[in-house]
Amino acid sequence: MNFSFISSPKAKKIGVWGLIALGVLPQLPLIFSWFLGVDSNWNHIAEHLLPKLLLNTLGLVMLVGLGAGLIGALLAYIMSHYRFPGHRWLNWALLLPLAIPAYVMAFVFLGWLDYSGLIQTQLRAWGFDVTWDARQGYSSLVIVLSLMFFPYVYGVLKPNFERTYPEMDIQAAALGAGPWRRFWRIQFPLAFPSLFLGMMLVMMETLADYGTVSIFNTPTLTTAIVSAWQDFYSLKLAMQLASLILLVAWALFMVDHWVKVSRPRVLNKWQKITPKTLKGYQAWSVFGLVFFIFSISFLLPFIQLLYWAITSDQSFTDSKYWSLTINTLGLGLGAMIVILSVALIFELLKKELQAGRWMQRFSQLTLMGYALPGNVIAIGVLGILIGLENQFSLSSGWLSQSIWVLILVLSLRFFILGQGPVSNGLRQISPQMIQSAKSLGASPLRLSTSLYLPLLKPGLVASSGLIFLEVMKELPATYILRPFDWSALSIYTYELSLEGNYEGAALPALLLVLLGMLALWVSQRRRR
Amino acid sequence: MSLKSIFKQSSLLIAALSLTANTTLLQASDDLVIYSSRTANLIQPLIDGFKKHHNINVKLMTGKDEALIERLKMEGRNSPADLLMTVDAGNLGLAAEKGLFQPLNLATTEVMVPAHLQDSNGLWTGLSLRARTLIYNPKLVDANTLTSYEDLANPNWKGKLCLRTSKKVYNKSLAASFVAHHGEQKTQEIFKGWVNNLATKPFAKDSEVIKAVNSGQCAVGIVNTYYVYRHQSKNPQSVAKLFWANQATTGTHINISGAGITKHAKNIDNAKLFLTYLLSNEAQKIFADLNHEFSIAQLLSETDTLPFKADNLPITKLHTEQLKGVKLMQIAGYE
Repeated sequence: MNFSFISSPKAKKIGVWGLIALGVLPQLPLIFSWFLGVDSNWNHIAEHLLPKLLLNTLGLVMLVGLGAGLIGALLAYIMSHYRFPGHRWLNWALLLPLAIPAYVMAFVFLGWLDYSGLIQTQLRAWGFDVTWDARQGYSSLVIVLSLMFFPYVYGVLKPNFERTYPEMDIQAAALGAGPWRRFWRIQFPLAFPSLFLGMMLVMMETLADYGTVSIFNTPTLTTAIVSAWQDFYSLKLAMQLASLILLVAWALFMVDHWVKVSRPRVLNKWQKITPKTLKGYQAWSVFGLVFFIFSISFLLPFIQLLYWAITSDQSFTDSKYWSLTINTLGLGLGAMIVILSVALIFELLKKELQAGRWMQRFSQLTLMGYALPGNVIAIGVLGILIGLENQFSLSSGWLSQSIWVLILVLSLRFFILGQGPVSNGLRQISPQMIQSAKSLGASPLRLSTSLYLPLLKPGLVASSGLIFLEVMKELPATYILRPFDWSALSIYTYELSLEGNYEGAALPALLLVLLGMLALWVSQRRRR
Repeated sequence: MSLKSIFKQSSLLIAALSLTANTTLLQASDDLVIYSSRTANLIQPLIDGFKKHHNINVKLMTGKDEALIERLKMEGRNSPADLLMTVDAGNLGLAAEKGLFQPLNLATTEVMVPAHLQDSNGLWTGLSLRARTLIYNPKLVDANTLTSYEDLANPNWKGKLCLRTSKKVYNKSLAASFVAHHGEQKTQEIFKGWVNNLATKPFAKDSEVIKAVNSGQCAVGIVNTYYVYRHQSKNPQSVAKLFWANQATTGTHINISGAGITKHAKNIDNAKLFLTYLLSNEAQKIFADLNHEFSIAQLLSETDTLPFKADNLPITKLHTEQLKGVKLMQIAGYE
């Protein structure tokens, strides 16, 4: 058989467009929902709900983007520019808040700080008249979400802050610029696209968040989508509302694109900066600050979970936890492998083809899944799958209750987490290097295995942990598309908490966090 | 071989194993397939009890009501499901309205479900009861001043009321019962009154309402009783007390968990066997013990009776009036 056709540009083009089509597939039902006519409940929603929830959604997205951006950038700066006691482990431990499921963080926060929480109850017992209502307004919600999501900014930004550009630096120093000024005028602007990428991930996470906002009972677009489906029994309305989220995400991508093109590409050589080793009170106060953020964003919620898990009616020795853990692990690893390999193939093909404007634009659409609530994606995909089953007379559940399809859907949802690092990594490989390899007669396969892969490996390994984490935490799509009698830790956590058994839910949640810690530890170890 | 690569390989192996294991499960024979929004931990003991009497292989798929109903609808005649179980009447009514059920035609069961707790067309039946009533803090409220849900709209409760979010199906059903009893006009006034009397914005969970009443953030709230029993058994020092609402009028609001046989069920006889088991005295006791719910057996019993007078509104109203109720809550600004 002749396989040369596979490497022809035409086949590659078909491949890229095929992948784009697959990536856009979950969004199609949202767009098609508008062709079914405007839902009759729109008037009611527009009059009584929409203004407030749009305001809430946009307000939260901006404020959390800023909040997480600020915390993440501050920590990235500190961790890249200074060395102090505890730096080694804090370096990766600062990513751990991502391992805590959203509802846990919100619950711990309210459980401690709200009117009936530990702290206020104790203060009142001592005779202080404290009556703070933590759920009122935006402030607590923004703080909780920012603490949950800042690691995205931190993770993306830190490698950029670790770089210095000697040529520019020397020139700037010669013109009399101090280190701080050089940071602001050279390092920061060059790192800005990364900062924005991190903030964009945060903003998309905020858009898609359901767990936290529903615990604070703050209506947003996501809660309205759920309500359209549950209260008005209208999937059409839910999808039409979800397409508004698509619009916001699309706007974010436009801004991101503008940020990228408006900045010069760095062709100067960079070096790793030499961090300053802090001593004495300076060292300890910096450690104190970083450790404080680590404590409130991970350590305290973790301890609370541990406490609940120990005091609950659930037991580690129950054999179902073993299978739940194995299932979660399998799902996470499966999606991780799919995302990374597809992202690699996708980006390499685009590079080979020197993708034009349209291909680039459309390939961005495959990333939108990240901002969409999982339940809407899942039910849309479910409709397509069941349609296919009926069309081709497949046995029921062959597609719609298959673990492989579930892995595929989760991969589509979190594709951005693999695509981002791969495309950023590829951009940093200098074209000259590729040219010289090609002129020495390297085949595309050889090019991939001995040039791209080794250069991309650190980025891929680092992002693998993040992907695993997101997939194992995902609930709505997993809940809808899983096979019969198949469960995972996220599902069991949810089901126990559904009837108010939070202590019981703490054990599966704790196992989730431990798996997440393991994934981050394995993936971040190489970087140190 | 380094530790690292051992970990890598073993984890891949585990992944592959878990995936294939589950794919093979998919092909196993199935004698009864249940779609349920009652969570796995609250239904498994009933399935275990059933299996002691019958050698029937049961497959369970839990999910959210709306997703399960949508799936049933999409699957149509190819659906593997025999039975749909939910934890409220509204969703059963919705499934019936979409034509997803077939008539039950159950023979005589040990516990006979009263007519008002079944579908009027015999498409689904209630299996256990859940009561939603008032909870109050005795330090802040004299129990003699409490009467009904409706009275909490009275301005003398200003700043004293705690509610759970209007998005929760338990409140949606309560709202539907108001519409059925009082009509939309009066219901609207009740909700406006409630919103004016709120001590804080509505909570996400019943358990938070209980905590808020306990701590004195509010004097009175509305909750499902089983949350309170569970809270009290875990926190013996808790002061909040239940008050049975509307005893002089309509009776305390109850909802059901229930089930219906799907239109395209392949194992109709097994589904009937299962429902018959759920309406046996043995299973009714499991229902009551499992989650501090009330059983239908208790409603009928002369000796082990319910501790309150229950609303005997036809339970189908919780579906037919629900959308009106939901809209009225939203118009009143009850979030």
